[in-house]
Amino acid sequence: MKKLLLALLSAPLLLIACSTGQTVPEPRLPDIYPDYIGVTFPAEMAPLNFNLRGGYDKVFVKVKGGKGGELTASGRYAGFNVRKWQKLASQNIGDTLTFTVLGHKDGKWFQFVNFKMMVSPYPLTDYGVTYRRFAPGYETYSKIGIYQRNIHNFDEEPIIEGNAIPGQCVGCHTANATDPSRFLFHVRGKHGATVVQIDGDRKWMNTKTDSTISNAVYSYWHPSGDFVAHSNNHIHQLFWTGRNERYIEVYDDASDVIVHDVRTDEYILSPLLMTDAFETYPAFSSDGRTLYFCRAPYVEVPAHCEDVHYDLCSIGFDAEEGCFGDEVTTLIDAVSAGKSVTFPRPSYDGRWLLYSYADFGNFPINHKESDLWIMNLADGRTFPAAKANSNYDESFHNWSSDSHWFLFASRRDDSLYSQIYFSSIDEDGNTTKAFVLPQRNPEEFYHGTLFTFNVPDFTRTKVKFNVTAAYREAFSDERKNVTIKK
Amino acid sequence: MIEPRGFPPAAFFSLQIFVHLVQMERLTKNTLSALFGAGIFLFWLLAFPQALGLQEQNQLFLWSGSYAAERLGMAGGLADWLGEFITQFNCIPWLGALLLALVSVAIQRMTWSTGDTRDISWYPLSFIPSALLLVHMGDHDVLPCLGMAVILSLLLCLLYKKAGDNAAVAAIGIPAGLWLAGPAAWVFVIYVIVRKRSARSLLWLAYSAALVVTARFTLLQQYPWKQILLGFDYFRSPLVHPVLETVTILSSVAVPAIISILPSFRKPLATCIAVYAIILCGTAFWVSRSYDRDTYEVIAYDQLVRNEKWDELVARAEKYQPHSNVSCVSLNLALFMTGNLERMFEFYQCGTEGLLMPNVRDYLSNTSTAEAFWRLGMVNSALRYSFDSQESIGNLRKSGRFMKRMAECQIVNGRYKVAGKYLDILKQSLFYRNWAEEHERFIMDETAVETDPVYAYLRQVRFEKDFLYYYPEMDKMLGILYSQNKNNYMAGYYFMAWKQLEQMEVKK
Repeated sequence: MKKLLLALLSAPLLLIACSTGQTVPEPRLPDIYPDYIGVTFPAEMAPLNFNLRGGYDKVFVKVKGGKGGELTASGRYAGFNVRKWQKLASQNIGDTLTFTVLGHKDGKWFQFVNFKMMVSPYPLTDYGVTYRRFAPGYETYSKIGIYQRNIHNFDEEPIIEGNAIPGQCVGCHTANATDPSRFLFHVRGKHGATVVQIDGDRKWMNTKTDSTISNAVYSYWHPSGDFVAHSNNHIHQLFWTGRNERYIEVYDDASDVIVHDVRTDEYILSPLLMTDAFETYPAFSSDGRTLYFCRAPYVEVPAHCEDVHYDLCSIGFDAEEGCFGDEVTTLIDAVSAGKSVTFPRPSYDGRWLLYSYADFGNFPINHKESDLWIMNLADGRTFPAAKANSNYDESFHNWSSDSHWFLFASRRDDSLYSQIYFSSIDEDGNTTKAFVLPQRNPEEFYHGTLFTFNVPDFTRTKVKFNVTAAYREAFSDERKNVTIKK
Repeated sequence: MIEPRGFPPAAFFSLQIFVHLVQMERLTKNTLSALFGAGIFLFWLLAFPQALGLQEQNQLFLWSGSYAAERLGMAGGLADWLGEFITQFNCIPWLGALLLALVSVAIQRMTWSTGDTRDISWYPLSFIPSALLLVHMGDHDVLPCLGMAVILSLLLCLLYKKAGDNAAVAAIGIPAGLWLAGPAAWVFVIYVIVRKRSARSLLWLAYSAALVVTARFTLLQQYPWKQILLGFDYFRSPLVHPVLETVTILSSVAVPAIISILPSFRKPLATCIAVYAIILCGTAFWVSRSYDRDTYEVIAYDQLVRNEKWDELVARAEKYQPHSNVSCVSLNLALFMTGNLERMFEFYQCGTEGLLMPNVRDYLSNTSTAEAFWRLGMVNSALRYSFDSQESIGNLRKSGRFMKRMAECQIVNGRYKVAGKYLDILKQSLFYRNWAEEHERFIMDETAVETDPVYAYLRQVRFEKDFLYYYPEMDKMLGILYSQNKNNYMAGYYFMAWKQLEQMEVKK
């Protein structure tokens, strides 16, 4: 109501100001936050509200669609009506929206050079995104939780917060190709477990066995939903002392890859994936016949942690027999290039594979130089997701259910607090300028928050999780043990 | 002499005595409350001012609508908000002490007022809830929110009484109380039931239980029953609920009920003074048992480090020094800052961990080491220890003290956007606003940083080459700091001290 009144009042004022020549032209693009100038967004997305920086006390914005339609917003920030925004965007799919921005300062209105946003031809119909939210700390976590956010509006709700199972850490929510009917997450702490939920039924698993080096860490579902690939890692972290804008180094001193048959709760092991080298970050191809993973030759760590470089490898997987192929193929030889490939994420349509590319190591979120790269799975060609990348790290990426959109975490805003960005890819592999997850008042939200948004993923529908039962189950310490398949 | 019409002289005389007695009683009650309040005020101001500083540094009250909304969006949120509101004034110790004294007196007066008894004999019993609160606060994790929750609950009781036990007040007051004050508002539910004294009044119990169950499965799904029933922010560790917490809360409703059944005495004033004396003595005895001297000495040392009162710290240690590594770190830092590090073996030492501690996941142990790292030029380590200290605050609050240091570390490291984020948050507080505004000039201004004596010095002495921090090789790190910049005397002294302490450990 307030916004409506403001808009009604501002419009005639603006007209008067313009007609009496009081609007001062400002021959530059407006400094808006977030930087949405030139981005491509899906019509279904929540409005890309923005703030005008530069000490303006009021902003007036008029949006005009290339195919028709208009929309205005005014006030302390440009906050658009959700329904009207999506209506205008739907009218202009595949076309542009032109933004006329006026800022009010010292009793005058300043009009900036117009800018455009593109409405993508690719829809984004997934319900929303899931992510882990916490303070980007070192060895201590306080408020932590896994949340879901409806991307068509601004509603956020917790799936599970640390409060629900006090003293435990929750992390790495992993759904089966955006389908939340099968998902898992790990609980760390005294009452730790891997929680696997299939069609509403939960299993609290002890994923450490005598034959494996640790609990399950990085996981990925087989498209059938019958298997989950896990890495088992001995994870450590140390802290940089110097002045190179890097603070934390996360590294493994041992790691293997295994597959978990969630029907029988048996581990399928292969000596090819449990070598002295560091195998980690498994991910199944969209047809489930290939398991991608990253592998680094053994290096003594932490002394030589800057010499740890991971290749992208693959091995065959037979879901019917529940066994691996007998050969590991190196798809990207990053070791020779002195680089490191991590976090492979094949698109669900089988066309692309998105990965992090950094100077070394396996934890790209702490590597400023880390960028997103794409492999064309048809011909093995690799190239950077140029328009999505920035001078800061990009990591923890994943695909929308139709594989035309991908999201990722990036620290580009302030170098420490990660935010979730979206970009799209066309048939030729061209990506679009990424835009940050919209918020009602973005500057207040992102600048004011002390949380980082991490391990994001799309979710096709809303995640349903019984937190009350989870508390009981967590503290009961009843765990199902995984066994090894003979 | 003019006499009031219609009053015979005898009646007038009796009235005068009555008025005199009433005035006398009122004076006595006011005096006893004032004495109690003055005692509490002096207790916090003179005996345990360090507790005020500790409470203040484990929260960051922001004057913003979103901060208030976040608090009020949670059960017990108003009590929490009010508790944090008064705690921010601990930055001015006399004001913090005064507010805590007022809270104590308010609880006492309201406890008395909720009862129907007018007999002054048992007036001192109304001090019991406040006395229990004082004893309970000997645990430094007890939050002022508890006192505010009791006040809010008693306020509801008074409203109900003033409204003539009106059911509508109970119907609105119970959900409002349970949401705004948290489980302490069960005091109000009990009060309503006790005053009604009928089987039907138990319906209020069912009503309250239904409200709590509804809240549990709607708004509070993410919280375990234990917290919902015993409170969210009465104690800094979310799942810890000391018995004394519940006893304190329940005493505020039990005391008026007990007073109402106690007999009257012929000499009410004398009885009153005698009971008052007993309660004061009992409180003093119990307080002396509940405030652990060593713990509060460690806290006092830390507050002296925070305020850079180095001489005072050394003087305090000369009188008494707790045997803990945290106090050693504070003392050794003070000894260095006063040019007396060579005196370190005149005091208790506990090895290298008493010089610089390994990271500990709590909000107190790291602080002095973080201060030492900052002065040594180990900026990233100071940042890490400060960050982890803040994240270790049990009730998930932020800290003005730690955030200030984090902002400074980021300024020295040139990560101005993150520093700006912290400064903008600090600007929303009352007591850190000026500091934050003053430090905004460093954002994106290399010249300002390079000409600031502290920040420029730290940029000169910090590590030139990047390598991974490894606590067991602290001596090497100190050696590198000193060898790369001989002006870093502190690194040199600390290196030698580390070696000496290492030898001490070997001998042991």
